[in-house]
Amino acid sequence: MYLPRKNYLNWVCSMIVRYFAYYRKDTGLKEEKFLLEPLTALELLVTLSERHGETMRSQLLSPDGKEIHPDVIFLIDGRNIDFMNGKDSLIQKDSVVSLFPRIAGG
Amino acid sequence: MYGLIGKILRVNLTEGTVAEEYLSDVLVKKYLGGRGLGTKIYVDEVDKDTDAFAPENKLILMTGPLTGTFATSAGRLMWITKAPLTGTIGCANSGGEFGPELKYAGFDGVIFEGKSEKPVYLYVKDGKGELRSAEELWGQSVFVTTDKLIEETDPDARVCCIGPAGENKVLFAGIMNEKNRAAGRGGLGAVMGSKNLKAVVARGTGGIKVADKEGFLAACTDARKKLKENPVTGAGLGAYGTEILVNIINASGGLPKHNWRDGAVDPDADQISGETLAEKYLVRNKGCFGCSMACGRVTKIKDGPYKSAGEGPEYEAAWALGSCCGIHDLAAICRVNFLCNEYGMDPITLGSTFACAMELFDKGILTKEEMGGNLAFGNADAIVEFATKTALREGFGDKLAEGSYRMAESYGVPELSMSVKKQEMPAYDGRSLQGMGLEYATSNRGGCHVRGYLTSPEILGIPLKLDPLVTDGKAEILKIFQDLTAVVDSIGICLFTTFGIGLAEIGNMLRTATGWDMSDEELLGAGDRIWNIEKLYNLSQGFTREDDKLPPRLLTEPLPEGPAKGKVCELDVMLEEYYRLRGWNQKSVPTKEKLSELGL
Amino acid sequence: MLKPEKCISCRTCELICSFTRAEEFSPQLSAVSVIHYDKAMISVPIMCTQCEDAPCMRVCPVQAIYENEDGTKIIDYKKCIGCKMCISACPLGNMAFDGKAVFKCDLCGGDPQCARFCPSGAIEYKEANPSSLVKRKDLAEKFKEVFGEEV
Repeated sequence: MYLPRKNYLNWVCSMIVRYFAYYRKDTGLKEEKFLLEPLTALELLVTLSERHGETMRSQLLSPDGKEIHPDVIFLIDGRNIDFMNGKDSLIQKDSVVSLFPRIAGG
Repeated sequence: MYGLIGKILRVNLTEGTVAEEYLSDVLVKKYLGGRGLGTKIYVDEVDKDTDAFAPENKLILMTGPLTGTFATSAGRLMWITKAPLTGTIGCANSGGEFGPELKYAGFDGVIFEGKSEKPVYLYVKDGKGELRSAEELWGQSVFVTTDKLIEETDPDARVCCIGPAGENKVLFAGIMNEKNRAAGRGGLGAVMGSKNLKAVVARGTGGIKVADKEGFLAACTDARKKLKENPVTGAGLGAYGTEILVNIINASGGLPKHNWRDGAVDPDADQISGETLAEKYLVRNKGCFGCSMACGRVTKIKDGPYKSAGEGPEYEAAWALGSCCGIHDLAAICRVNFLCNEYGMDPITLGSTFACAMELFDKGILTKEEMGGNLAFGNADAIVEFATKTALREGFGDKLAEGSYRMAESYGVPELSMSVKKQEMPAYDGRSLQGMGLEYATSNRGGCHVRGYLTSPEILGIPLKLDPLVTDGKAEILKIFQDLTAVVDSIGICLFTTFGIGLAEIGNMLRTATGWDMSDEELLGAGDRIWNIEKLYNLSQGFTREDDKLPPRLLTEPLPEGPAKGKVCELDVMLEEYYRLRGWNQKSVPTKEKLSELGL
Repeated sequence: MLKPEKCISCRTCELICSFTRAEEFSPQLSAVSVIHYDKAMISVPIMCTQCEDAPCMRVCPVQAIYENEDGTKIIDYKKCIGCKMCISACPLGNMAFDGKAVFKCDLCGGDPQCARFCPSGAIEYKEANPSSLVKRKDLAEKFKEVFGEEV
């Protein structure tokens, strides 16, 4: 699906978003594909929250919607955004975004 | 004494005697219990030149001061001896219910010495221990042995035992309790087998008292509340178990494939993930003694060629039998995990050894004729077939039973064993998780992930966020983790509690239970002390800095894809800093100042 | 209220019960016991069911067991002579002897600790009466989800 947005660099990215653990239950999906103009990590989560409803919104975003929820692990092509630009990390090419709730251990 | 009972049993298997001994307050305060106390007794009593299978070797079982109390997940026990697989100090930790039952029976631990002429088991009931014949049980599986011993002794007894793998001295045989809980790594089950000791049975109607009742209840209530509120310990581990790690480690480019040969990104990883297990085969989750996290998996494969039921698998086992072997049939992986429990064998080393053989087969070094089967990457039937052959040392299984290092070495290619000090590294690629590379190289029992679990900060961001691709700061955090883990392993609670609570909460529970006047810093210092006595033992066994290394693959073969593409493990720079922070010289020997600081 | 399908077999209930009652950790002294079934893959916590027509009350020769205003059956230790007839009388095995006296679950005076600390919700303390309505509502909810209008 194509969602027209603010024009960063005039081209679109083919993005795959993968869901894990209980995000799968709450979206009903393992993954979905988007065509989007470049956007930040936070902006992507806002978009996903609009798509998937209140349960996901409350798990992905802070109550005021301005921050990413601390229990979200957000990887862009395997790199954690904590070591890029945090919520302002830009997704600007064909990427795989992986979203995990912070619930693991072994 | 509070917390600890203050008494252990000393069993001489040669003479057939069982005697009581009291624990000294001084010793216990310095080494805490469990891993610390057991290791201290071991290194003091056993001559350094003793072989692991010699009658002069000792096998020690030790619980901690919190085992069997209301503390968080307080069901843990430790087995300590020289590990046959590595030749280092070996300690293996297990949960379940045996530890508390032993304390209710009136003892903190047992020291086994000598060797019995005929197979025996120890029955500990309410203050008394006796050796009984296990001749009828020798050769029986862990499941049958457990059921029969409960019938023979007490319907509410708890059983620790070895299976055929331990009896056959498979170098990675484990000691099982409650059938499916394992003190798995290093081959301690083989030491038990070498002594003709089949099992330990405990039945206790006694209890444990604590020093400060209100204080302890408050400390435990606070810690339990924190565990409940934390997403990992309060929800995640119970819902998905440890296999929840499969997808996130894979997405982070850290899931080694095909004996670590083909990078660490597995496109089929989801098929062996915790999500898939929960969806397809999970019956329910299960908790060890007093544990609210309940990460145990009760699993059933209802039909198909791998129809079976049991408990597990855990993440590292699923990886070893899965991605490492190029296998993605979760049912087959579960089946082999159940077999490992039944035979009493470590699935991590088993899977890694299979993978090593598979690579040797690929290279033409091993043939189908020699193996007596088709142990090739991706062959799910083969891992089921060879699991039994390994446990029983049948045919090629006899070579596999020696572990990947000795097997690969016998063909002239020891570098293809993905191990450190001959113990196989689990499930996290040290090229994408630099801190884990350092942990594998420095862990006192060889390639071990859990004693300094840097995956937690590097991938989960708990309790702080570390970039997995950098080397800065890893040595410092690793030392803290290794010391804290030593504390946790010594006091008898589960390491997974540390996802949700820290040194402060642990210190509070320990102080109120035992009445010890010990600050958090002193407690962590005890962990440091325990780490060092393990290290001193390894030095006495001839392990040097040269052994704190990784297989050449991790140092020279860059990852071909994923977020860590192009990276190798930059071990040396981290190692140098690690030795410095540990207070050791660059030959990894503790300095005199360090030893006197620790009171050694 | 017991939901054994949620029981994770951790025995936290046994620990806190024995500690609350007897100030030590000993499942032998606990009024609740977890019975584990290996092959059936289930565990069941069992404690006194506070029978409406309690055999222990009826059999006691000195009327040491009485019912309080919540319907809980309590032992009056001033009257109890330790004859242990109540242990024989209870058909469910929920009366026990700790070496000094008989004991049973007394719901901790109205705030049962097992329910407080049970990590999985297998033991809950609720009003007995509306429970059937709660379970009926759970079922009705499923019909609503499938056949009802989108909310």
